[in-house]
Amino acid sequence: MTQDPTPSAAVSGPVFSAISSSTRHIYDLLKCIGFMPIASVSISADNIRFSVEDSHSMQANVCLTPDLFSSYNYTPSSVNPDSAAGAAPPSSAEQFNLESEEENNVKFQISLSALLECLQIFGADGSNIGGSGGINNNRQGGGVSGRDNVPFGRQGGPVFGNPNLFEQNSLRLPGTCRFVYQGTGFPLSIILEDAGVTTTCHLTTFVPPSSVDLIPFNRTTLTHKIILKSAFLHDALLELDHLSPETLIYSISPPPKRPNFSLSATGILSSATIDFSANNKVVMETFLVHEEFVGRYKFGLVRKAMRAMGVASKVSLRGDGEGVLSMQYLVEVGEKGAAPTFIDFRFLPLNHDEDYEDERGEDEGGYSGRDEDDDGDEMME
Amino acid sequence: MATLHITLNPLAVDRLHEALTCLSKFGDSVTLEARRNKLNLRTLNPTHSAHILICLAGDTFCDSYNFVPDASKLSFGSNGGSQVSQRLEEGAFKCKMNVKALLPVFRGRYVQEPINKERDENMVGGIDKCEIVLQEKPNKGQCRLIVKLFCRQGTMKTFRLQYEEADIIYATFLKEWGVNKWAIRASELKKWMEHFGPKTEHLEIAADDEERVNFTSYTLKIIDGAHILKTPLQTSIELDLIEFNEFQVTRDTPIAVSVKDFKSIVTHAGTLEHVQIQAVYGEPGQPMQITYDQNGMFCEFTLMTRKKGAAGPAGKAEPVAKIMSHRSAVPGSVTGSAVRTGEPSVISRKSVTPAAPSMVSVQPVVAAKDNSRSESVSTEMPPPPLRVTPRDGSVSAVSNSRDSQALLSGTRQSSLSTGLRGSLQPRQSQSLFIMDEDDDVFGPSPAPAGDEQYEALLDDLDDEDVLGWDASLGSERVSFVELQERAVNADKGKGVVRQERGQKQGRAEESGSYVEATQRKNVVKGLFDD
Repeated sequence: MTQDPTPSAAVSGPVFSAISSSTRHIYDLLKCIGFMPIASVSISADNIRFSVEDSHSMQANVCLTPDLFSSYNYTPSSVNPDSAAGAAPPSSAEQFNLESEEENNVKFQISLSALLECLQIFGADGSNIGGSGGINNNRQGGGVSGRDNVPFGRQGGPVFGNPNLFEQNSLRLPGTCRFVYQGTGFPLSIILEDAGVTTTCHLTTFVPPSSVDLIPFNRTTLTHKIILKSAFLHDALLELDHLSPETLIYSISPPPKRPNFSLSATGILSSATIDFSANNKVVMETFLVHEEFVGRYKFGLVRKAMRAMGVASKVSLRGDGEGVLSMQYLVEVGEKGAAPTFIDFRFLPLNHDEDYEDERGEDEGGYSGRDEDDDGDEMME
Repeated sequence: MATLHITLNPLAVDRLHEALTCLSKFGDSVTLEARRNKLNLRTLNPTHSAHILICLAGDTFCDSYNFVPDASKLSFGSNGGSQVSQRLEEGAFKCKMNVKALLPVFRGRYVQEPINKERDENMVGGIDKCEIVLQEKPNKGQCRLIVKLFCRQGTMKTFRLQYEEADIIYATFLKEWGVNKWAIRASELKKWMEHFGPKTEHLEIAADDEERVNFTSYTLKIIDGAHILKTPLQTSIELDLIEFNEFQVTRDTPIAVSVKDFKSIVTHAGTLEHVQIQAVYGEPGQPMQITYDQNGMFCEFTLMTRKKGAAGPAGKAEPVAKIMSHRSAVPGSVTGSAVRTGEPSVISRKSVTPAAPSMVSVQPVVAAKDNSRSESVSTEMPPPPLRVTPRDGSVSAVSNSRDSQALLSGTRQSSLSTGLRGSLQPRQSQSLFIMDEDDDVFGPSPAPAGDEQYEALLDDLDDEDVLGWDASLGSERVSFVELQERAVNADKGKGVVRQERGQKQGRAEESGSYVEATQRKNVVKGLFDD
C-alpha cells in the first residue's frame, strides 16, 4: 500500500479540494467518530473517508460523499485516469464498501480533534437543536426526548479539547468552507470564508502507518443481519450503561427461539438484559439469522458508537463467523431526500476463553474468539 | 422459600421512582420488607437522625401483589385468631439494596401515550407494565430481585438486582410525644422551600404568636476544612395560620430539624397531588413525625429534632432572640466563629444524642427491634473514618452543655482568646459528630443514669488510654471516643499522651466534670501539633 501519489503533485494544483456551504453536517458526522484524537484519511474520487480505531479492537469509518459538498475535486497527480474518471457518486449502502478501497487513494493521518475544532469555528456546533432537527427531522417528540441531548462527554473523554466551548454560539453564518489538500507533505487546509472574513486553518498531516488495516469482516460467513431503528439500540445501550458494565453480551437466536435478539450486561450491583422482539416491524426492519450468534464485546468500545446511534435513523447489525460485529449506521443528512451517509463500526469480540461472569447459559455455537493479533495477517489485499 | 410477585402500572412505577429518589436523599441503601399485603421501603440516614418509611399498599398501589412467606420461617404454633396478626409479621421477606441500583431501573418509565400515531412509531420510552419478582435460590447463589419492564414496542428489559439480607430497623415514636401537630397542603409548603438556601443547615419551626408560624433557616457550619464560613445566613418565612389546615402547637416550642431533610420531604410530597403534610412532635429533642399518604402510598418520616442547646438542669432553653443579642454583643476578635458559636448552645446539632446526659427523656430515634439485637445500631454503624479528623476533636463540648454556667464562663475566656479551643466553638463542631456517637453508646440507657455511666465510661477510657489500646475491646463496641483515642495514640508518642492525661486528670479533679478528660483527647490539639 505504498503507491501513494508522489509529492511533486503539488505543482499542478491541489490533489483534493472541496467546497461546502455548511460544515454542520460534516461536523456532525465526524463528531460521531470523534472519540479518538487521530484519524486516518483516505481520499478517492468517490469519497473522503475518515477512520479511527481504538485498541486495535474497534474501528469506525465515516465516508463523506461528494453529495455533501457543493464542489468536489480529486485530481491525483500520479494520474490513473480511469480510477478518477467520472465515477458516479455512491449513494446507497451497497456502494459504501470499505473493502473496495483502492491502492492509489491519497492517504494521510490528521488530528481529528483539531479538525473538529476548526469546523466549530464556523459555528457548526452552534445550536444542537437546529442541527439534530435537521438530521432527525423524521422523529421528534417525547419518546426520544433526551436522546439527542444525551451527554456524550463520558464516552469521548478528553478527546475534544472543550466540546462545549462553542455550544452557546448559535450564530449560523452563511459562508463557504473550502478543504484543500495539496499532496503528501502538505497540510490539510480548511478555509472558512464569511462576508469578507477568511479564516484559514492548516492542519498538519501525518504519514500514515505502513499498514492501516481494516478489521476483516467476512461476508461469506455472515451469521445474521438485522436492521432496526437506531433509537432502540441507543435506548438499550443507555439502559445497560447505567450498570457501568465491562462486557456487552450480544446474542441472537433464530426466530423459533425467543428472545430473538438480546443485549445484556452485568454491573457491580445488578445485571440487565434487553430483549428485542423480531416480530415488531416498527422496531425491526430486517431480521435474518442463519445461525445462533453470541458475542462478547467490550462495553467501553461499543459505547463509543452511541453518538452515532443517537443521530442515525437506522442501524444494520451483522456478525460473521469469527464473531466480528459490524454496525452500519444510516444517517440522514441535510434536507429530506438527500442521500444518506453511513457510519461504519466494527468490533472484535472478546476472547471467549477468558473468564467472564456467565449470566445466561451461553451456547458458543459457531462463535469462536478471535485474537486481535490475527487480523494483521488476514488484512485485505 | 418466599415468593413475591408484584405488577405495577407505569404510573405507579413513576411514583415508585419518586419515592426512591426521596429515599436516596437520606441514605444509600433501602430496606425492602415484603409482607402479605404491603411492601415497606425504609431508609435510615447515616447519622440515625432520620428514618423514612414508605409503605406501598398491595391492593391500591400495585396492580397485583402476591407475597407468600417462606413456610419454614413461619411458626406453627396455635392458629388461633390472636396469632393471625403475629403471623402476619412473621415470615416477612427483608432485604437491603443499594438505592442507586434501583433508581435507573424505574427512571423515566412513564411516558404519556402519544397522540400522534406517526410519532408513536418512533417512541422509545414508555412501558406497558412492570413486574417485580423475587428469585430466591439460596443454594445456587442466585438470589436476585428481578424487575421486568414490558416496553411498548415489544422490547422487554430485565434487571436482576442483587440484594443482601437485612434486619428491619424501626423508628420509635411514642404517642405521648405527639402533643404538637399541624397539617398543611404540600403544595403550599413547597412554594416556600426554595427560599431556604442549599447551604443552610437547620430549620426552626416556631409559632411566634397566635397568628403566624415562623420558619427560620440557619447556617450552622462554622468551620469547613481550613475555611471559616463568614456569612451566617438566616432566612425567615412567616406563614399565616390560615394556610394550615390544622394547627395545635403549644407556644414556646420552637423545633428545629435539618433543612435538607425537610426540603427532601416537602419536595417529594409536592410531587403528589393535593397531599396534606401532617407533622406531629413534642419537645425539642424528641422526634418529629411527618406523614402523608396518597393512593396506596404512605410515607412516614421520623426526624430527630434538635435539643434545646445548653440547657442546664433547669432544662430551659434560651430564646433565640436572646442568642441573637448575645451574638451582637460579642464583637470583633474571633467573631466569625464566636458569633456562630452562640447558636449551638440554643440548639444542639444532633439532638438524637444525649448531648446533655442529665436531660430527661433522651430517646434514640431508632430502636433496633429485629432479633432483639439491641446493639445492632451501634454495631452496624460504626462511625465513618471521616469523623476522626482533627477538627471534630474536642469532646469537651458535650460536657459544656451538660454542666453549669460557671464552667461555661470559665472556658469562654479561652474560647475568645484562642478561638479554637474555647468551650463554645469546639462544642459546635463537636456536636456535629461526636454526639451521634454518644447516642450509639448511651442512647439506650435511661437518661438520668447517663451521668454516672458517662463518667464511668470515661474512667474506662482513661485506663485504656494509659495502658494502650487493647484490640479485644474494640471488636465488641468501638465508640467514637475510643477511635479518637486510637488516633491520638497513633499520632503522638505514648509519653505525650500520658502527660496530657495527667494534665487532664488534674483538671478533672478541679472541676469534677468529665470535660477535662475529653479535652485530653481533644484532637483539635492535633491541628497544632501538625
